[in-house]
Amino acid sequence: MKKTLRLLFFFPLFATTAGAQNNNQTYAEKAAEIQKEVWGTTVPEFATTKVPVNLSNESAVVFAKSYSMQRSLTNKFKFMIITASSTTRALKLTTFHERVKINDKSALEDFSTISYQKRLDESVHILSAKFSMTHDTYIGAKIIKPSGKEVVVNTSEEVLIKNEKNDQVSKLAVSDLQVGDILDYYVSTVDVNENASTDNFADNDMVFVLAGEYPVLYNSYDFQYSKKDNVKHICANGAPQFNISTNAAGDQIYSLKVRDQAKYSSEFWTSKFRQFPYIEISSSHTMGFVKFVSGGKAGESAADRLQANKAIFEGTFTERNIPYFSDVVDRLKKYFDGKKNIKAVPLDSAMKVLYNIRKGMVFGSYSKDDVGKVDEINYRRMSSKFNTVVMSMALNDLKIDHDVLLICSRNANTLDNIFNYSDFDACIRINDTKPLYMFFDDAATHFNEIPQRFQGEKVIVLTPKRESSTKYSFAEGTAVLPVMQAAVNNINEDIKVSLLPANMQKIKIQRLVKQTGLMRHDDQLRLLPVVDIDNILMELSKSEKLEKRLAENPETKKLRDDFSYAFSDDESKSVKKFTSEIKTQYEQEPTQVTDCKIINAALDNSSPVFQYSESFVLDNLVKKAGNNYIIDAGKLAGSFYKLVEKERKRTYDVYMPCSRSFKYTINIAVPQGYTAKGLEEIASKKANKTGSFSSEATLNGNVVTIVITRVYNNNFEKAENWPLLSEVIDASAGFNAQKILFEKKS
Amino acid sequence: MTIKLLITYTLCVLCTMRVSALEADSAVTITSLKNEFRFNWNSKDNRVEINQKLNNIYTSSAYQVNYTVSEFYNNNISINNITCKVDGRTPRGFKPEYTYYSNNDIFYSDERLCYFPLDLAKKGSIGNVTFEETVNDPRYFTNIYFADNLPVQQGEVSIEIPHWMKVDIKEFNFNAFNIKKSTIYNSSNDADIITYKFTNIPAMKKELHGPGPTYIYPHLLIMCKSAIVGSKQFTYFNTLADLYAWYHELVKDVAGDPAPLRTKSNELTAGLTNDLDKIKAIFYYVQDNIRYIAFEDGIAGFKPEKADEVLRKKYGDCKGMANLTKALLVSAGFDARLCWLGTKHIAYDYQTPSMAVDNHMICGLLYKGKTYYLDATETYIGINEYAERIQGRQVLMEDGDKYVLGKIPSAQPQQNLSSEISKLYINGASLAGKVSNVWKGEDKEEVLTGINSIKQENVEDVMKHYLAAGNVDYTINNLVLSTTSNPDKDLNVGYAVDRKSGISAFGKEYYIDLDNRKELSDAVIAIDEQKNDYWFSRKDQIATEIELTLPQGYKAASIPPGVDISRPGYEFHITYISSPGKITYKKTLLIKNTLLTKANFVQWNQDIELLNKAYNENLVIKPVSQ
Repeated sequence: MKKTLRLLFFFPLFATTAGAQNNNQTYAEKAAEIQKEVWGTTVPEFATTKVPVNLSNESAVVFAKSYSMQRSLTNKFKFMIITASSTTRALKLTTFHERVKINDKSALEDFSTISYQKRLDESVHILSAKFSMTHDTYIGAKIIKPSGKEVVVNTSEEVLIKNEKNDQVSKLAVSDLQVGDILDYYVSTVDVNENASTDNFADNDMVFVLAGEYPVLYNSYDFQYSKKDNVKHICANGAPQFNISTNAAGDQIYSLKVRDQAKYSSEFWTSKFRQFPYIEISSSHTMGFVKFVSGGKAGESAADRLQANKAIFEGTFTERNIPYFSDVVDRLKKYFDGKKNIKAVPLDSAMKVLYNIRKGMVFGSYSKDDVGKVDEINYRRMSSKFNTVVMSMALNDLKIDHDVLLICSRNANTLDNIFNYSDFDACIRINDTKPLYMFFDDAATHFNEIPQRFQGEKVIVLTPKRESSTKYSFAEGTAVLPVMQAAVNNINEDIKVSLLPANMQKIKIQRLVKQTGLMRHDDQLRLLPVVDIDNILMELSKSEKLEKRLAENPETKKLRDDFSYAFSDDESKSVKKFTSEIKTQYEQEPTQVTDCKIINAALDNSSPVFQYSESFVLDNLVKKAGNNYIIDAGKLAGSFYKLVEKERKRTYDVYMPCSRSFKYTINIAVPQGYTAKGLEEIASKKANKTGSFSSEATLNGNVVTIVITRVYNNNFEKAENWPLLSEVIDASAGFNAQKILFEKKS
Repeated sequence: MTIKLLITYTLCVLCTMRVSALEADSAVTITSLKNEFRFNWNSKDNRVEINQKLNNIYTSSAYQVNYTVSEFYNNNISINNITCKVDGRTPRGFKPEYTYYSNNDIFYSDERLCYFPLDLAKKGSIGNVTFEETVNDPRYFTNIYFADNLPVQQGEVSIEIPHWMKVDIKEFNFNAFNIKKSTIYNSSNDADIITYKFTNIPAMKKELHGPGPTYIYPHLLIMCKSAIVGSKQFTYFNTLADLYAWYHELVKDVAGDPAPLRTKSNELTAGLTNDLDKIKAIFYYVQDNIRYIAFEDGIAGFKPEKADEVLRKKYGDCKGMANLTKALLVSAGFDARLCWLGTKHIAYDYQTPSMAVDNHMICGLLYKGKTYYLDATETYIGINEYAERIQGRQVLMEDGDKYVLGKIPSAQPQQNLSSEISKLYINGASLAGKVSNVWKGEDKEEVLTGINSIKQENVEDVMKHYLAAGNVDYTINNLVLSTTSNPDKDLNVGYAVDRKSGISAFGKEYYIDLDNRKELSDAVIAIDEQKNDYWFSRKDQIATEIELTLPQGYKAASIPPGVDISRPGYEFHITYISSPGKITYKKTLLIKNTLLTKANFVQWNQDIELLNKAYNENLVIKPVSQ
């Protein structure tokens, strides 16, 4: 499950149940009770009215914010005519309460409307028994005017934008709210859940990032769980720890208070779940993860949690559940015409074939829905954990020495902060003279290629040993994945430029692009037709033709014509895709786009350079000056990022996509009767430990050749290196302003 | 195109047309459209109704086509039955969804949407869909369109009008289409059946900068006038007076409690002696303090919220804001009235009395023989200034039991001004100097709307970014922005600039590109894509003057020729004026007529090309000795 940032929270993603609810209360009575409780708070911060001087220019200042959750469990019998069952009824009460000073119209717009799921009843009936799953929301709002007068907002002015018996969605425009007012409002929810299958850690997971759009003077989180609940939590990236206690009833209470929480200002090249403090908490009374390992103690440590997730992963190594690993082995044998021949080839060659076979099996399989979503097919991804298990079993069968690596993405949590089973990935490392990697990712990933989000990351190394068909054991270690050199992730462009004779203020560009390593994926997936990828992957794995595969799949056998049409339609959009790529590069609409060709698809590392070419015309890059012309030479390779002033100071470490390098060779034909001037100004060089930039222009006959190189050495830099990195960025951006004069010969 | 915006400004467009907002899908065609309308007397509910039977046959030209069929309905139009067959069979699990329709312009609306997917799996698959509906009040039966979201190959629309029902039908936009009309008499119902048959109607497509659908698509404006059924007589909108009478009835008691209105009015005008100052104080208060939120709920779609309620809530839609403006002015002793009008989006006027004619409400003020039209939904616009969407529009103003027809004045392009005056000099490798900008009218409104949509701590940065036209090698210092709180006054900004872009040195020569904005440079119209006339968002005047002081010992070696284009609808003028030690660049772009017809697209594109040519010419200066 992908984590989402939770900055404001009105729609709960899960339901819980409670037994203490008074079912005879009307909605209005319950609403009044909650209002009394929330606005009766004695927390002094909820009485604040003054904004600190240093925050007086802020759009809004949150004086106080609190989120509280209370969950209790009771057992319930359900009579179902002739039989009965028991279930656990979970009741969850949450309250989000916020007090905010509105200082401008932008904030007024933000806070002037509250939308919420007023009621949702998803109860199910089994025979005569009803298993409740209900959700109710109660809101309250009051305004404190600059004079101190308090005005309670009439929430019955809400409008129901969905009004069905079991499903009501409401919207309230907050009356009388103006700039300069303080808004004090809350949203309370009551959820009842008797459906045990939805009461699991994944569904009950809550993540709160301790950073928001506005500064928060006081922020509090309080979670109260039944003693029967298994609770797990994380306080990550420097978030303060929970204060954990129990009350007289044995309920587990987790509390956290944060003061003077700065607002989140978005910066590029950051990784939110690595760099911002966050808390994550969840519970389940049915699925204690720790039960797998240590018998079910609550409050387990991060190490226990990691251990529990590893145990689940290791538990998936059951051949009965994944029998098709043998298909992979069989196909390999068939590819080499027998097991003996596999051993006759170098290991890396055999492993590459094995990898491509598995890739082909996954990407060569289509569901009936795919025919209506052809533009999404190229963006499918393999399930890393599942395919790692399949591959490991196949390698075991082939007696290939290998390890299984558990890893987290640089763009998500660390290994130490694994919470749910979906929070980590897996891959294979084959132990040869040099390690060989198998990552199960997108269709453009090669054998022995490490996706950028995993490079440099710490991994847990599991060495599997087959004890039986249902049990594998694992020796454990750690390692760090290598980071590819910048030269491996490269873009090399050959750009031929000429001014159109009929209109010398328009330029024709013929562009040949070569991309390697991690720099090719985006354009491969964007530009390669779906059917081309299918054909190439099938060739690499000697698989069946598309027609046959579709026929053999019950889901798609009647849709062969449909797929054929859809793939053909996708192919016909090739020029549009190239045009879109050009527009992204040059930030203007090209005209006369022709000669768009994929020269090498590079879906295999035997031919790893993705190459394509195109030809087009651009406007507005040539200015006339008397009889002379000035060409914006600095823009012929596209725009390079330019820092704005506030980006020059940086306290966050820099998470770049990958180490990478670029080379642009621009050949500009000097028009007949003209000379080229300004070439010496183009020369520039800057190099430091973070990277480098260089540009140089020379005249060879009647062709001006400009060579530009840019390198970012690392995929990660500490914040203290930001000034050095800025120098490289500035040097690149400075190039964009370069011009060349074509002066008419006298 | 046109002026760079800080944000996109959302307008109050209350379109009364029932047109689905879905995009046309080129893989599906309506091969047959058959819509039948029949006036009917409902004796049980004692009213005239219109029964509608709308049948479309969809044919796919591709595989696995999934098209969403949708139909609007509301408190006055009910869906009684829906049938759907694909290739002769009702799809498994066929279950239409019914939901509220929402879009960003409307907070809440009683407009509902019924929709369901139509899965046409094979090429040539046929979907046959029929909606049976009832309009429960002839006043709400206003338009019948011949076009749909998809291209229509063959269509037939028939209307059965009993002789006891008086209806006028006006045909719009028939010229460009092949539409044949016939009328027969149905003696058993004593009714006329008017039938329109047509072929090859293109899909209704919402075009940015295009006219509203009433200008383009063939349709009928239905004006239900009256009915005599037995001894019962019903008057709908026989004349404009009837329409006004109905509106007047709706607004009879919408003033609300006068006490808080009087208190507020007194507070706003305290200390002011000049009447116009009082009027402005009230008008600008409503503009600035009442948030625009549109509620459209059946009759509430036409009835304003009570003025005291709008004041209490501090939000309202155009009707509420107009009503509050009127009530506050009346409290202050002025002759203020409610006015109905249709914005430019609508092709009709009050010559055809129908609820389809108007979609907006403002306040009219009669003062010293002049009528002022006060539209509080146009935030930051001054009194005596009018937004393009209402200029020249006919206005129905209340006058007790009677009405007065007026017209919003049309403004000159100069009402809306973006002006920039710079005095620059060469400072090493950059151009430096002082710049001042002035905005008036809707240009000012656009800038102020943008400023107020941004967090106040970011305003200066965003403003600098906007003034630099997105160029990041601009350094702007000493930025001084005039007050943004008085719509009466122009918006001014002054600052010091140092810009690296726009100047290149080659040897001792300087090549200078003075204009960093180059408005309209991307304004070429894609003729193969823009199917209809092009409407500019407003008339406009863009005036730029950049004076460059030449360095000592330098002269202008090459002065660009500029451009001089004057067309009836627009003008582009760029000149360079040489004077001792200075070169002055002057640019004026005028949009005089917001309508650019298709016939003029080629000329427009040619003129934009010439404008770009002028923009792409550099000034060259070099030492006097050279």
